[in-house]
Amino acid sequence: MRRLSVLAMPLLGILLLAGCGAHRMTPVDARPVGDLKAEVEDADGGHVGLAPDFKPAAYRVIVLQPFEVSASEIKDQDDARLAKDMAAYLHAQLLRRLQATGIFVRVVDASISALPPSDERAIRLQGQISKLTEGSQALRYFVGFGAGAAKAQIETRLVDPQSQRVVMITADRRAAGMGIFGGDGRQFVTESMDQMADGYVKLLKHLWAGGRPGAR
Amino acid sequence: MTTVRRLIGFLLVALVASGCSSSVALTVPPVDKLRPAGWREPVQVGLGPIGGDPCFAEALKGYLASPGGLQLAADRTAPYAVLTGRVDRIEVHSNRGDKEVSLLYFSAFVITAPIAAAMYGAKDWHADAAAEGSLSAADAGGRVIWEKALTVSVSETQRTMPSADALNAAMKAGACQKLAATLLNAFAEHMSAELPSR
Repeated sequence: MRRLSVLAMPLLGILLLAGCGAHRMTPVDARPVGDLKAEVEDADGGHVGLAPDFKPAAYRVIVLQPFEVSASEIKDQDDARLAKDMAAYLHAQLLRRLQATGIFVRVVDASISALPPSDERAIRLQGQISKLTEGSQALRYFVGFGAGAAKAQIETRLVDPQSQRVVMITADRRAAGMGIFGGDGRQFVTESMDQMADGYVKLLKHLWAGGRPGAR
Repeated sequence: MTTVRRLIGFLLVALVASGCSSSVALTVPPVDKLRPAGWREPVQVGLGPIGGDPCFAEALKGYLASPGGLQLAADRTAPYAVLTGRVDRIEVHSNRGDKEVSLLYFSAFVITAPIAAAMYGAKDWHADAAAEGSLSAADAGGRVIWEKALTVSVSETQRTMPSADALNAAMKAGACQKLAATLLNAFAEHMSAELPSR
């Protein structure tokens, strides 16, 4: 019995840790752009809307523009700071992953430079953090069942700079409501951003390899 | 068996309380200096007042001291532009403290000591630092020719258990370096577009 408890305790500990963290949810009020609606559920990138004639492989350069945070998510100074920090955080995560993925000959950081003239066709990645809250650690700890959950939702657009046409939109959302002693809200939000950046770049890799959005 | 578990608990508490590592090496590489291909020679700039945390001024000087691109003007050289700026805010957040508290909590009871042991070996700490600041460039006549305000973020995930001071110092230095290098790279890009074949 003692031996069992000695074995069970580390397992319980690992289980406790594994159960914590952000998990995917269905995006809420994702805005359509023209005819495009984010309706196809993709294994990596959340919900996706794709223009029928979009040919990803034609684009060899991507320009990453800084994401904005919806004004409705900023109610006080703390929210304003979190919005700036998370927009910068998501930008850094996307930039790092886009550079590492190897599908583009160049990844242009639009926070440093405008798109320089080039023979390569470029695509512009724009987006918005449409939901952002650290939630409440006290509610997560004392109430649970989703109360006080940290939440984040991002909505992205891929725009052809030449025609100014939006060729792909996505919406992805994460929530985290469980952690040791309720968990730290900021950690949940950064973890959500990591997951969504990772999923988005995996989706691009899949599309640029000739795949379609959906289950893998 | 109880003695062993007590020993594990005691060792964990001692390990956490002492703070294992007094320095943190970030795995995220620093932002590279931009050296525009069209520039035939480095461009000399001067540094005016730089406000906020001194790490920002240090990071600007470090960038300008490395070869190529923008360079800090020597004493008797007239700079192309004088840079002024400030860092308004540097914030470091991490769950290192949460990991420490959890370990201490679970180590306190013999029955939960194995949880603490599992947690020590399995749980990473994660930290992110944000730096918000601005930089502007003025020509010889004092006219502002370029300015930019920016917030940058650096993040790190590791399994070691550093001291809180070491983690904060490393993250703050990383954020300062990124802010300085990103702003100066943006200025170099601007100059490159304005004067492509200097």
